[in-house]
Amino acid sequence: MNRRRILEGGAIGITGAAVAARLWPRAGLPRRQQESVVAILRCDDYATCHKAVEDGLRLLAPSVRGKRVLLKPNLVEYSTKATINTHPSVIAATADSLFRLGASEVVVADGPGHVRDSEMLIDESGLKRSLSEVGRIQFVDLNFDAVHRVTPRGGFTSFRELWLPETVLAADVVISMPKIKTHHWAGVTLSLKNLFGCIPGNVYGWPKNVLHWEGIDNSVAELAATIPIHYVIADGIVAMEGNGPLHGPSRHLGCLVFSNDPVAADATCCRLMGIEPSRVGHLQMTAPLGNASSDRITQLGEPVGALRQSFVLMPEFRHIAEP
Amino acid sequence: MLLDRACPEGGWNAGNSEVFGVALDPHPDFTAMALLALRGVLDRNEAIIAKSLDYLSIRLKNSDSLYSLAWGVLALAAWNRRGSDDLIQRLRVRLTTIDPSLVPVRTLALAVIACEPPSFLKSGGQQ
Repeated sequence: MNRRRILEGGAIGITGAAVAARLWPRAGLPRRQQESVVAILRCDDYATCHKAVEDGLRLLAPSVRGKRVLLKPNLVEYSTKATINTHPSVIAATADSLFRLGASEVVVADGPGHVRDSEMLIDESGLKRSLSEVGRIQFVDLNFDAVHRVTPRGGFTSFRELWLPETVLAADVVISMPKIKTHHWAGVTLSLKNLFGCIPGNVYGWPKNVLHWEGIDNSVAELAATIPIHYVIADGIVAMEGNGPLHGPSRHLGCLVFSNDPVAADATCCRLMGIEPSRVGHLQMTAPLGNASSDRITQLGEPVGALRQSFVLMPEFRHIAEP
Repeated sequence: MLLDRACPEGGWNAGNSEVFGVALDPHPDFTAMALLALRGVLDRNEAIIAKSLDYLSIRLKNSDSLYSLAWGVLALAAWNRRGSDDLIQRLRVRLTTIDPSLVPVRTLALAVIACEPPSFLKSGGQQ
């Protein structure tokens, strides 16, 4: 670790709350008042994840009856060498459970940032087969969906407008389903960073560099302020550490994380990885949108401490590790 | 720029060839687009062309994706690469077995074009 990183890490740790308050640029944005719920369900393998998903949803009790639910997994690209994407079994189990809870429609949608060929991705990853086994589920490629102009609500970027997919805007309930991973440019990629997949490639190109030019943290915060995430189901059965989101080694974390608040979910996932959430740039910036502090989280299922690990971090992000 | 962005093992993706010292994987469609762009610019014996054509042939061997198959056919045909006929055959089979209403029009159009690659693609490349 060099001196700059030490200074950065120290400063972030000490002044996280103050910085978050200062960075919150648009005063009119509603801040979350109510406490958040996070449930951590132990689950050792994907073959048994259906029960864990059902149990988690029972604890979370999402309001989905009669509603059109959008599942937004993290689909980046398929590799036989790395566990990059939200596992198809978790997505299919979630869709199936939501139908049982009365959802009128379940749509699985993503706009992969690296590949244009979503058909190949969902085929090779096994998602296509998993969804067809459940039935009634439509997959929508957000990269090519019809788009509508939306005014960004956060003021974190120079965007005066955002073109967002109709499928996202039309959903009654949005469930972000990230794979729990470290990220070589953002520190972590969880439910909030997962919103990058809502940016249509057909408008912004591949690999969506416009978001990187605005700053990844700024862009995550802008999207988080603009696109509501109602619930989170994070795939942490097999996670990724080190050089994520594509090339890090797998790390068995053995759990699924459920929440009604993306900030609380991501903060909890950070703690499970041995990362201090207030040191992650976009979590500082989005903190007022939810509850990052464990004092404001009703913790169900397993306690964080029972599953916490110390994930390997890229040298550039060692300062975000918990002290 | 295309040559600078080529993946070390051949092929192209949508961005950099490596990040933090780790090589990124190529993708069939972007590889095909780059190969089409370089037709008439480089010789087929250039290492990057040969490696990329190899990558494309191997990568698409087991794929049924209309979009990637179509791009692959167009690039392989443009470079008179053996194997494009096999891919065309698979494309045709797929087109007769799918429900066209479920396929995006842009993909359908590309696949139809690839089933009969335009003659200017076959004749214009420097071989």
